Amino acid sequence: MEEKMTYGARQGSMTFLRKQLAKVISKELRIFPVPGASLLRYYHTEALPDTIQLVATPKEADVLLVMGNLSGAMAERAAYTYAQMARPRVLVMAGPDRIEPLYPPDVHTELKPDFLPGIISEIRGCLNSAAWREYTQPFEPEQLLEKIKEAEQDQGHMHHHHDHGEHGGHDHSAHQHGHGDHGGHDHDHSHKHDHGSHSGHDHPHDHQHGDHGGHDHSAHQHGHGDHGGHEGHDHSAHQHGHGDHGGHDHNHGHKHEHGSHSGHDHPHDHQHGDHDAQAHNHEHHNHEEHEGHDHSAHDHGSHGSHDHSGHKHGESRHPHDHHKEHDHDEHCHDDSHQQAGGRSAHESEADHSHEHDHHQDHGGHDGNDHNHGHDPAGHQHDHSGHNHNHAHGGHDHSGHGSGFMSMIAMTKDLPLSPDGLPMEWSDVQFGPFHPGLPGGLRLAMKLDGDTVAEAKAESDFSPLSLPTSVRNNPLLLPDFLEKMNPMAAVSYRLLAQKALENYSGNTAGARLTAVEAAALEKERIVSHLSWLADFALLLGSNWMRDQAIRHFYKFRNNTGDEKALLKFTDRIKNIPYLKIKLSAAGSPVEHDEEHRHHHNHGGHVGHDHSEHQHGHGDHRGHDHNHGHDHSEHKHENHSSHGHNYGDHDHEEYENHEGHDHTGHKHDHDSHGGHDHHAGHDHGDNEHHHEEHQHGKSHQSRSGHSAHEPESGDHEHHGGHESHDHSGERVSEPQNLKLEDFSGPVTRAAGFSKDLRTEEAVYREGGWKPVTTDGNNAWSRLLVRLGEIEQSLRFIAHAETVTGEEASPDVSIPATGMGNGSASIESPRGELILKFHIHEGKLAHLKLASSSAAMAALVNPMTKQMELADALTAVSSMDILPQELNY
Amino acid sequence: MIIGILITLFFLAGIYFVAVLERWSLSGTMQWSSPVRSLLRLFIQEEIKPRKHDSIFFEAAPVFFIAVILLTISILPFGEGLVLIDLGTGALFINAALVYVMVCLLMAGWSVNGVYGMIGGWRALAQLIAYSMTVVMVLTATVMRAESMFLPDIIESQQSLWNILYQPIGFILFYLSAMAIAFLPPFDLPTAESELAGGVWADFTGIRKLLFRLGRLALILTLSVAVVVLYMGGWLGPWLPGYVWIFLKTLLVAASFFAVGRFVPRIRQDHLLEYHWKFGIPLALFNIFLVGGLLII
Repeated sequence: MEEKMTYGARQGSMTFLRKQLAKVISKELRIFPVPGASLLRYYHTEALPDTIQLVATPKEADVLLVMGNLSGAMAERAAYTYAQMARPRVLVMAGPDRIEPLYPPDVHTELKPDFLPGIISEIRGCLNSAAWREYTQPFEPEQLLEKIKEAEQDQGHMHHHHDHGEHGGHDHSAHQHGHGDHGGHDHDHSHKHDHGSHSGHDHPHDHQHGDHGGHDHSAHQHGHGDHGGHEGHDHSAHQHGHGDHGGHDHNHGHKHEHGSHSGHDHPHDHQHGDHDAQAHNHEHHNHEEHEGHDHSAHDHGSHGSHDHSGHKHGESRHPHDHHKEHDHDEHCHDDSHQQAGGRSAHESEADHSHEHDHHQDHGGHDGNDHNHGHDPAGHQHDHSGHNHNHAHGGHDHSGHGSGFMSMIAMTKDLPLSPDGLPMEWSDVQFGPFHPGLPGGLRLAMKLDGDTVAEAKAESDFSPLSLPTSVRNNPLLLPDFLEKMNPMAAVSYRLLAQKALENYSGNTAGARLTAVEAAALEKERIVSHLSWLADFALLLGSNWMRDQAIRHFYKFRNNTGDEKALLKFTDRIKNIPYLKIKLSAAGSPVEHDEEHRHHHNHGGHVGHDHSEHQHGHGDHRGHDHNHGHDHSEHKHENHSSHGHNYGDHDHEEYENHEGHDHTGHKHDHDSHGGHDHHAGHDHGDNEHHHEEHQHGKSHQSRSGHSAHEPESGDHEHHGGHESHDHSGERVSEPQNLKLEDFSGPVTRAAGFSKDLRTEEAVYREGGWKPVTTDGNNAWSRLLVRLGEIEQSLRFIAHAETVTGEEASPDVSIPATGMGNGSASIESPRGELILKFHIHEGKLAHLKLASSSAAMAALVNPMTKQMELADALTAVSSMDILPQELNY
Repeated sequence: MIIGILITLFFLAGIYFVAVLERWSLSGTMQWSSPVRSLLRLFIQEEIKPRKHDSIFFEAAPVFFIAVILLTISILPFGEGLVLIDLGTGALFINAALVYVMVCLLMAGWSVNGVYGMIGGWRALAQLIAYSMTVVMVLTATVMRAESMFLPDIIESQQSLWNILYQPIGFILFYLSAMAIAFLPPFDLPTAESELAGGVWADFTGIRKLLFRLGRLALILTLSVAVVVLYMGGWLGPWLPGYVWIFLKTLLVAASFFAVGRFVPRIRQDHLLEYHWKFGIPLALFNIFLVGGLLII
C-alpha cells in the first residue's frame, strides 16, 4: 500500500481523526467511469449497490475508473480528468495496468464481467489507509504541463474567446482566458485561435506583441466591414499595414479558428468591417455584394499546420511574433486584403485559416481609391495585386480611450448571430466523458451564447485494428468482434458468423435463424434500455433512468418482466411535458437552408469559389442552370447567371458575376434528373460532369441502380448521365442523409428501411418496422419504445417457431480466395461487414455502421439549437463512438 | 436564547431531512447516513482553484450564497413565536433577499472562468429574474388578505381557510416559482449535471462546495417553510404543537418538490421563460384581482 496513492493522497499525516473521517467517506464511493457509465453497465450483471454512485463530473469523484485500453487521445483526456479530481482520489484501471500518460493505478483488476464489486474493498482500503500521506507527488505528466504552459502563454490578452476543451473530462487546463493585464497595453485583438482537436497544429496562441512597451493600442481598429461593391478582391496578399502602433488599439478581430475544421466549408466567412478612414476593424464578415472575390483553394479542412509568417500587421511590420510561430501551410485562404498605402494594408502571403464569416455588406468600396488590381468592367478573377488604397488619413483614437467601454467597439469584432447581433462565441468540447453523451464521443461545438452555431461529433476511440491471430484465422472473427463491442456483442457476433457463412458458400445459412433473431431482439431490448437510461439522465428524469437500469439488468439476466416493461414504456409516453420538450429537439436543419447561409453573396462579381464545398442534397428533377463560365477562371460579364439548384435556395446569389468554381465540391446527393449542361461552360476546369462514376451496387431511390453505399455521396442521382466526379471530393460523409442508412433514427423520420425486412424469419411472423414521423428526439424515443414492445412480441413468437436452432459450422479452406459479406440490423441500425479471404487468411475487412452516418448528421441536427436541445438531439441518436472509426 | 436554540435545532433537522429527500430524488432510495458522509467528504476534500479565476467572486460567492439564505430563514416563523426577526415587511423581504441568490449564482458562474459555469450563470440570471417577478406578485395577494406584511399575521389570516384553497392560483404559481428559485429539478438549469456537469458550481470543491450544498439545502428548506407560512396555514393545525405542524408541513412540501423533480424531465430554457412571461405574470395579476374581488365580497 505504501507506493499507492502517491498521486492521489492529500499531503499530511494520517492522524486518528483523519483515519476515522476517511473510513466514513470511503463507505460511499463516488466513481467517474471512463469512457462511460454505459460500458460499466454492460460489464455487470447486477445494478451497483447504493453505496456506489456514478458521478457526472470528476470534481465530484473519489475514484477514476478507467476501463479497457484507451486510445492516445482518450488516455490524454483521462489524464486531464484525473488531474482535475480533488484529493483524496483513487485511480483504478480495469484491463491494462498502465496507460500513458496516466501513472500506474492505485488499484488494478482484469476487465471481466462483474469486476467492480471485487475491488471495492481494495479501493476503500486505499482511502482508509492513505487518504493523507506524508509523501505525495503532484500529478504532472508531460502532456498536462504542456497544456498548462500553453494556457499560461495566453495570459495577458483579451482573446474574447473561450476554448473549453474536453468537458465531462473538464479539461480547463488549456482554456484561453486571457484576462490579464498586458503591461499597460490594451491589445484587444479578439484573435480567436480555436485549436480544438488539431493534432498537427502549431498554435502557441501567444500574441506576442514585442516592443509594445508603453503603447496604447486602444483605438486602432482595422475595420474592413461593409465593403459593398468590392470588385475583384484579391485577399491573397493581405497586408495589415499598421506599423508603429503607438497609441493604437489592435482590435483586429481576426478569428483564427482552427478548431475541428477538418473538411470544413468556409465559403463566406469574411466579415469586413467598415473601411472608413478611422477605424480599421479587421473583421472579415459579411461579404455581400463582393465582386471579384477570390476564394480559391478556400479549404479549411485538415489543418495540419498553419503558417502565419507572412501576416504583416503594419506598415512597418507589426511585431506579431506569434504569426511566425503559426504554421498555416495547409490552409488555403486567399481572402486577405492587400491594402498597400493605407494603414489597413493587409498582407497575408501565406495561407490563412481565419474564419471569415458571412461576406456581406461590402458596398461602397469603390471610390476610396481602391485599386483592386482587376478590371471591373471585365470582372476578371485575377485578384493578384489587389490594392486597397484606402487612404486612411490617420486614425482617430479619440473615442476609444482607456476605460471607455463602448458596446460598439466591444462587439465590433465579434461574429454575428443569425439575428444580426454581434456575439461572443465559445468553442466548447463536450466529451469524451460527458455524462449525457455516449462515452468516447466528443462533441466539438461553437456556441453563440448558449446556441449551437456549429457542431461536430468525433470519436476518441482507436481505429479498428485486427490482431494477427484473427487475420490468420478468420474463424476467430466472431469472438473478436463480440469482445470489441460489448455494447452490441450479439449483433457483431452474428454479423461475423453470417459473413463467414456467406464466404463459405452457405447462402441459406447466411440468413438468421429464429434463435439468432430472438437473441438479436433481446439485445435490442437491452440496448434500447441502456440508451434510455443515459437519455433519461440527460433529460433529468431520475425515475426513468432508474427504471430503465432496473429493466436493463433484468432482461440481460433473462429475468425480465415483460408486463412491467410494457407498463414502464407506457408510462414514459405519458410523462408530463416530455413530448413537448423532445419534439423541439433533434430535427435537422434543412440542407438548403444551411446552403443559403453560405451563399449570401448578393452583388458579387468575379467570385471564385474554388474548393468550396457545395453540398447539394435533394436535387431531384432540377436544372443546374448556373450560367457560369468555368473556363480558366475567366468570368466575364456573368451578371445574369442564376443558380437554380432545385431544392436549394440560391436566390441570394443575385448579381454574381464571373464565378470561378474551380475545385468546387458539388456533392450532388439525390439528384433526380439534373441538367448540368444548360449554360455551363466547363472549359479547362476540373469540373467535368462526364462519365459519372458511381461505383457499384447503388441503393437508389430515384433512378440510379448499382450504386454502392460506400462509393460516397452520389447515391440517388436519378437521371444523371455520364458524370465524372473524379477529382472532386464526393465521398464526404457529411452529405449522407437519413434515408441513406437504417436504424431507429431513420425510422423515426418516417423511413421504413430496416434490414430485418429481408430476413425470412421476420417476414414469416408478419413483422414490420416501427416508424413514426417527426424526425425529432420524441419520435426517436417512440420508435425505440415501440421496438422494445415489438421485440418482446417477436421473442415470444420465435419461441414457438421450430426449425434449425443454430447456424451451421463454417470452415475456411487453407487455399483459394473469396469474399464474404453480411449485413444485420443492430439496435443502432445497419451493420455491414465485408471481407476478402486469401489462402485462408483475412486479406481485407471493412465494417460500416449507421453510427458514422449519424455522426455526420450531428451538425445539421443541432444547428441553432439551444445547448440542452443539441445535447438531447445527439443523445437521441444513440451513436456508438467505437463505430465511427471503422 | 431558547428560541434561538429551538430554531437552530429545527433548522438543522430540516436541512438533514431535506438532504435525505434530495438523495432519494436522485437514487430512489432513502439513505439516512448519506448526508453525513457527503458533508464529511466535502469537508476533507482538497480545495481546487481553477486557473485564472476571479478570486474575489470565487471566494465571495459561496459565503454570500449561504448568508443570503440565512437572512431569509431568520424572518420565517418556525412556530408561534418562534421567529428570529419578526420583520414588519417580512413578506416582501423573502423576495428581496432571494433575489441575491441570483447574484451569487452569477458570481459563482463568472468566477471560475469556464464556459459551463458561465452558461449556468446566464441561465440562473434569466430564470431568477423571471420567477422573482411572479413571487412578488403572488405575495401581494397573500398580504392583501392578511392586510399585513408580518408573516405571523399572514398565518393568522388563514384561520378560516388556508390560502392554498383561498387562492389556489397563487399557490401554484408560488410553488412553481419556489422550485425555480431553488433551481430544483425540473428547473435545475443553472446546475444541470447531465448538461453542464454542475454548471455554476461545477468547479468548486471542498469547503466552498460544501457551503453551496448547505446553502442549497437551506434554500429549499426556506422556500418550503415559505410555502407553508403563506399558503398552508403555517403552525395552524389540530392536536399537535404549532412548531411540529410547521415542521411536518415543511417536510411534506420539500418532499413534493423532490417528487416532482424526480419524475418530470428538465424544462427547456425557452419554455421556462416563455411559460412564465406569457402565462405566469398574467395569472399572477389575475390572482391579485381575484383575491381583491373575494375580499370585497
